[in-house]
Amino acid sequence: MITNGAPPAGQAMRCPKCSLSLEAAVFGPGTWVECPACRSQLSATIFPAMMNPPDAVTSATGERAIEGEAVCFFHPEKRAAVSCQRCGRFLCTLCDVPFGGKHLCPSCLDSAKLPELLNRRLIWGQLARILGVWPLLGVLICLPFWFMVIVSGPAAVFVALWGWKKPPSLVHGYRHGAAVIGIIGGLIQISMVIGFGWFMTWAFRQSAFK
Amino acid sequence: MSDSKPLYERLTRPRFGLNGTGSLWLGKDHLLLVNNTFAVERYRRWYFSDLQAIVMRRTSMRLIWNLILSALALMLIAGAGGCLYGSTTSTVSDDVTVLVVMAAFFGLLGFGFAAAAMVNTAMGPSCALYIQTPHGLDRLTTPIRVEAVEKLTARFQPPILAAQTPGGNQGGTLREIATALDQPLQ
Repeated sequence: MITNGAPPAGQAMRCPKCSLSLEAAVFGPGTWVECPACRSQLSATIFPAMMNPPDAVTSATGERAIEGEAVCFFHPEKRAAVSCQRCGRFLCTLCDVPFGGKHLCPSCLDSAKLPELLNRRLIWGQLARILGVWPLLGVLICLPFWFMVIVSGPAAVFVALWGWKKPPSLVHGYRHGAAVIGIIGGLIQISMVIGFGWFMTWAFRQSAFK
Repeated sequence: MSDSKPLYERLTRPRFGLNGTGSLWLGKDHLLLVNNTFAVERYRRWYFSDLQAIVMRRTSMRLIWNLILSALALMLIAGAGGCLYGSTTSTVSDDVTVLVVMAAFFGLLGFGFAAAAMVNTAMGPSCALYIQTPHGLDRLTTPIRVEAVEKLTARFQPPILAAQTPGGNQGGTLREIATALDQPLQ
């Protein structure tokens, strides 16, 4: 089961716990294999990519085009190999960027802001809901939290309106419900602050006139 | 507003962890892990064409939780029994009422923990899930039950096979895949 030395290229599996190299051939769906080193019970579903490791990165520079051949948009002296699947420009092997099964040119990859390139995103509606609801819960749990609502109430309303048309979550799409909850929570907080201020003014006047 | 149409299909429910929630989604040509921490979503993608294997490792989480829940259940049920015994021997009526109420409270809580232990047992063995790509092994935080992982794998296996083989053959073991691809097994 254990491979000696370097495992065969493309068919090596490693134990997730102890990193021991294991032969992929012993694995299959529903089969449990014990790692000889750490005794972990392992099961794996193997896909054909295990047999076809990706090609090594080459330093392709593109072939020089002869007269009458389609040429690269960016390198007029190079022969076109593919066309960009976004803008349609002809590309040589140097300019072709394979990305998620597509062929793109560097400028499309740079300018398109493809959702596939996004690593993180702030969800404004969710932030508004947090600012609108959490301080209210904080006030319920512990009264001294009330001072937070002076800031968080207006902030919740502002964030909800500011982020209304901002790009949404990649997986959930637009969820205006969260922003609406944030606005409602923010308005409640603002009314609490106004009510408290009015009460303090009223109490001060009452005591001043006595 | 073309962005409003979701691009992904949910594979797992959000699982709560120390750094927010994590959930797995199925895209057109990739798997997406979304970690949500305080209104910030972080995305991690694995393209179908890169996936070499889905690896499961059995863990002791079910056993550990069963031990904790059973110990709590036993202690609470023993406490309830003690309260009941005390109520039968006590002569003060107020004490009897308090002890019966306490026995009921401890008993309910104890049976609650026992039920949770039984549910935990029924959910099947626990496991850790990994994805192998040419760049190495990546651990997924969700799901953590063998049965759930098997269902999940069955769900995203067809698109992966379709992306990696022209015919989308029903591979499983490396030998079967090698035969289907007509390649010698090294």
